[in-house]
Amino acid sequence: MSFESIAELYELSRAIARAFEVVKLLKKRAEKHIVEGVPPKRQYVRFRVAAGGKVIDLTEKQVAALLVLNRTEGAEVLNAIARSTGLNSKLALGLALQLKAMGLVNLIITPQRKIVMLTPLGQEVAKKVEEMVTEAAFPPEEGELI
Amino acid sequence: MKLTVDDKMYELDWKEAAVLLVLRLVDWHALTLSDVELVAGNYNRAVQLVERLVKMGFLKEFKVRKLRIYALTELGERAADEVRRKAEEAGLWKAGLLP
Repeated sequence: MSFESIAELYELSRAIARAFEVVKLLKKRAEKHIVEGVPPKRQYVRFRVAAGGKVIDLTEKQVAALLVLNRTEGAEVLNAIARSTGLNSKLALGLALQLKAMGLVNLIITPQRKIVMLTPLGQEVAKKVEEMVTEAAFPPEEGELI
Repeated sequence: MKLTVDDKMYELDWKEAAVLLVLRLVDWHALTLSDVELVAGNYNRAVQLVERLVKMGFLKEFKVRKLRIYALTELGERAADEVRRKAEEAGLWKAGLLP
């Protein structure tokens, strides 16, 4: 066996030992951070948006989450969405999972941190919702006065 | 160690190979920088390590404010599988040792 292959075996064994050690630790930590998403109750459809060749019904909470994401360049940590929508982390995760099932967001989940990102369809919907909300809050005639 | 993925040769050190393996083995397939620090030993080394892996195309980075999360790219998945294959071939990968 050459020196090179012995050195490589040594490197490989160190990599595996460290990887197993870290995976064990991370899995142990993860057990303490298991949060199962629960969709918020009593949600009513408030917005209807046509995007991506279909009509999408959205509730207030879903719209709030989309607006937060739209104003943060399409990606935000779940905690920030929870704060903005007035939900706890369990319900916020449930809401994010609902949006994911609708194809509007992608979720990147680690036990301690969760990131929500708009998909291209989500971006289109969020933009339309933003326009609808702005229009409702500031009707055109008032806008002209400003 | 030398890895051949998609007919291209890459040279990784053992910590870089360990990061690829960890990402492949954890159920959630993503790591924060502080998770990488556990492999690297310190913050500066962790930053260098992920930068190099991102540059090689093995990792993708998701950045939100100060939070950075890393996940394997398809190339990274193949590289991690190659590391595992090498380890199995050398008899270093024992199922009993897996967490």
